[in-house]
Amino acid sequence: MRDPYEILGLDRTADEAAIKAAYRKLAKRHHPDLHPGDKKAADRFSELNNANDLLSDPERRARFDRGELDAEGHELPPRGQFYRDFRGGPGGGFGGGPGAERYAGTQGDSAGFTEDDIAAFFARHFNARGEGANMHVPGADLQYALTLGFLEAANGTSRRVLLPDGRALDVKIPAGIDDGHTMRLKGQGRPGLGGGPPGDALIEVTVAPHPFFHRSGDDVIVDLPVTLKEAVLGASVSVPTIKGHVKLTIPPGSGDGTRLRLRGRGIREGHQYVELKVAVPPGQEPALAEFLRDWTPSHPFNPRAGMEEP
Amino acid sequence: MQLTAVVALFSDLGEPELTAWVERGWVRPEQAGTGPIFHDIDIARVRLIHDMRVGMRIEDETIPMILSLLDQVYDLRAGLRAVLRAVDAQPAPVREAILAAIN
Repeated sequence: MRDPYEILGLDRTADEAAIKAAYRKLAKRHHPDLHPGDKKAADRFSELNNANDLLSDPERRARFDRGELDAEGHELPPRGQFYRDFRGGPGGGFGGGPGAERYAGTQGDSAGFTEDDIAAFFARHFNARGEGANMHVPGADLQYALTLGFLEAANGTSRRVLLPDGRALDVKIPAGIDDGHTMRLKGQGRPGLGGGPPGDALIEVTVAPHPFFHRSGDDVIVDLPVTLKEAVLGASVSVPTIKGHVKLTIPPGSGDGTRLRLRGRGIREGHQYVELKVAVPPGQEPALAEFLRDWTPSHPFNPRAGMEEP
Repeated sequence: MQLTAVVALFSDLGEPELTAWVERGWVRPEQAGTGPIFHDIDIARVRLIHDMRVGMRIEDETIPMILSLLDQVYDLRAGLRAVLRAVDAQPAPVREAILAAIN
């Protein structure tokens, strides 16, 4: 078995969310039932499942990272036949195994394929190919999946990726790249035939979520817990941004949900917005309770005004 | 195989869930007098749906679309194999003419 991190396109520092996201994306791409004609798809999928199985178990992952556990010899039990194997997949028969007719598009006739379809197929196929007999065939595109951490995607980075054909490419990831974006590296795919141009390398990027940074376009949003005292009296606190911590002044009398802006601290030209979450002190606070009992607010208000008429 | 036995093959699949898949037509087991009978092809299909929902986190409303497209691909492939067999059965000059036209 290859290195599980390499199989999932992950860094060794990838967190649980990144592993899940990478697995999900690659499972969608490599599931054998989605590749009825590809014999190797079952091997790729089982490799993927083994990699995911190893890395999503924190204990086994840690042992693997420390070198105590080999990726070899701990694979999942082989899985039974895939759906495609009953619908005439690689090596399968004509119409598929028993029961296939229950899933064929048109029930009853020969696998839902009519004479008209066949005639149309030939007509189209011959015309399209007939004209291009001396055509130069461009090379195929190569697909590659790359999972980035939130901060790598936000700030930009450079990554060495191993292409399926064994070549290594240094890829510059621009700051602010979006989840699901596909980067096209011109001419880095398979070579063409008959003087045709080479294909491209397509790198599909997955951005793993971050535990406290969220993204809205080029703005970054962070929920920042503050104590009751900091909210009422104001304070200067340290706030994480995608480029490191900065000091933020919380004005006196800030409430829960107050939104403060850190200009230019977002992605590219974007800002960071800090939304305050006021945390009431845990445990008993007799002095605070005593004070509140005798306290008459100078600006009485009902925070539930507007909710009285449902 | 009965529905209960199919459910037992998975650690995280319930009877109501599988029953719902059958009701929606995602899985079409043989209908016997004693209830549905799942053959190997049906079980493989249950496994595929399970992979899509759990492994790939595909939304329930997207699954019938994928299944329908997949079945169309399989039907087309079966049809294409029928054509290839027909081509195979032709005399050599006809086969060569067809191959030349395709390539």
